[in-house]
Amino acid sequence: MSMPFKNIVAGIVLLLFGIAYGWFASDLPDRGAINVPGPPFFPQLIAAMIVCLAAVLISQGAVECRKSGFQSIRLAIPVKAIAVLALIAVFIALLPIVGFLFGGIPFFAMLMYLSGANRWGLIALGSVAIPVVLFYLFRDGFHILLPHASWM
Amino acid sequence: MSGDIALGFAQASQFATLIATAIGVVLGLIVGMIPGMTISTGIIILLPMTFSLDPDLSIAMLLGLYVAGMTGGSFSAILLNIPGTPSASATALDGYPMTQNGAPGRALGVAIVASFAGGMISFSCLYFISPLLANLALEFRAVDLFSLVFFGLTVICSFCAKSLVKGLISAAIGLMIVTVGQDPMMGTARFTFGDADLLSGIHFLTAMIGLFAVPQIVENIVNPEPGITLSRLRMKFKNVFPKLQDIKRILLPISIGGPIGSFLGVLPGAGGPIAAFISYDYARKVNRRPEDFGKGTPEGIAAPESANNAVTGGALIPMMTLGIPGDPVTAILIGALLVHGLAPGPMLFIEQADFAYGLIFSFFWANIFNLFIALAGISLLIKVLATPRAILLPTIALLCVIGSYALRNSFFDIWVMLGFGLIGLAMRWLNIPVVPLLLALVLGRPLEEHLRVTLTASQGDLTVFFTSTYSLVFLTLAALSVVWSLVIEPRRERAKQCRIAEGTK
Repeated sequence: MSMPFKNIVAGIVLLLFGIAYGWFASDLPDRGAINVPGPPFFPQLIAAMIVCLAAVLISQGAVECRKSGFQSIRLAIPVKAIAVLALIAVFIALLPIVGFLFGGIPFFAMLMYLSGANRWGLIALGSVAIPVVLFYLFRDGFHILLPHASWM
Repeated sequence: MSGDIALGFAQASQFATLIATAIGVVLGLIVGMIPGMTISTGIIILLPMTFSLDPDLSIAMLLGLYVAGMTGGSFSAILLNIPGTPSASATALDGYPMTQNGAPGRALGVAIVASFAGGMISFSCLYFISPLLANLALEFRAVDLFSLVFFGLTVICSFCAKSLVKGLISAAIGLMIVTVGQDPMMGTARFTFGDADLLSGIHFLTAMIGLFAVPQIVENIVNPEPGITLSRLRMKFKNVFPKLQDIKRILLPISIGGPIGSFLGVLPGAGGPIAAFISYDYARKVNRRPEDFGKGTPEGIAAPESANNAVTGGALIPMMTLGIPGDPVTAILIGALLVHGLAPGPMLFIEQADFAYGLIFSFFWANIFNLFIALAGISLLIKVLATPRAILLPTIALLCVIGSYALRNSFFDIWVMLGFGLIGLAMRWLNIPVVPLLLALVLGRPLEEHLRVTLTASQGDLTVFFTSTYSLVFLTLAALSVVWSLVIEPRRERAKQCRIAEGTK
């Protein structure tokens, strides 16, 4: 996707977001007296700023698009990036249930694999050793208790 | 005053604090030399480990990392022609040719000594200027503080060279995030949608971990840089300690780089890379043999290295005395101080003067340790460059999760971290700079507070911003900063590009 087109899409999303934010801001209880700014004052300023900037971004994108002509819009799906983010999300979701150690070991192993490690011995060693070391380092060294498995 | 200085020195010189500083220095050298790892990321990773430590230990460790990170960046620049940090880019110009000429040890030695000298020059600025500036800042009223914070926000323009609109969008998103939670003056819940987790707002550090570290992990996994093998690093370092002849040669470049770096460090947004290149340029101009620059001359290493290390002390001055971050690292340091219940600003020198001086002396020790650890451990330290990314990246990912969780023992914060990671990735995809968002996160709350206090006191009269002397000065500086960043700096950049293009012909 070309950058001007990206800018137009981002500008539209931002414009809608700015309007929604401004709408929520205007709904906030205004406890200020006359000439005294209340809780909605600052968010409303920001909302106005976002709407203006989004409009400028859209118009800049449109002008650039017109100059360079619409280029082919082909969205390459970054499979690896999505896999990494999904892996992190699954790890976070399972953390309260399985705890840091039991969740951390498979998470580390899979992330090592995605990072290009292909020696299974190294993956097994690294994925067990590092989460275990971190868990006990934080627990005993820094007195920070990381999540335990819910059944423990 | 002198009692506070003595207490501060004693605090920074305690055995535990010195060890913390030394650990920070070792980590900083490692983080700095790994290409793709920034000092900001290093500090973010180290942060969770400092939560349970005393504030003086914690800050000493982070300062050690900050100082040494700058030096570490030069190692990979000199040995591999890959700057570990952006500030080390100018160092590579002469550092790598020296390695190619068979003198990597000599180049590294010059870089380490110059870094130390630059750091000590900026330490003296920090030591003498900070208390004076803090005293002056005590006279500021809400209107002046608003204008000061506004001036701090104009740093954003320095990071918007490619698109001002995108930089401002980034800042607006940051300001918007700051409004989530309780209203700073009346305690009204804003944008919490009934969620108790959002009532205390989005923690600045959680947001930062997501914004900086998550995109870096994803980027490094998706587009891995070519690995560095140990064979590439198998070099002999017999002559790391610079000879007297080299020290004489680098005195002038250091005396140029140190003050330039300290001065540019104080200015919000200028930063290490600019200081390094300006110093390099001046050092070449005053040199008797400017034609040697770029071919591997010690002066070409000493000027940028002393400058980028001097930036660290300079950047600490506005951070400590005014609570205004000069660069992303000092913004994170402000967050770290806040975690420990310490608010940087002029009151730090009044209410916790011993801590403030302790911080300054920890900076001093960080520079001393940086010199000795780097000189003594260089051959061992550079082996870290060969650490497999497959170990490094998952470890960083785990530390990000720990860091987000450990702040408030909250799973919600980990989700927030991931959410900010997605925002960070989207911003990279759209070429929107992240630093303005970070600065807005730090400065947004005081900006709103001071603005509302000022408008309440003046009954909505806007002329108050121009009738107060300090406020007028800050607003003028803000205007100059914007003009500098958007008009003069791009012109200089274009002129530099032209010179480089002419030089290559």
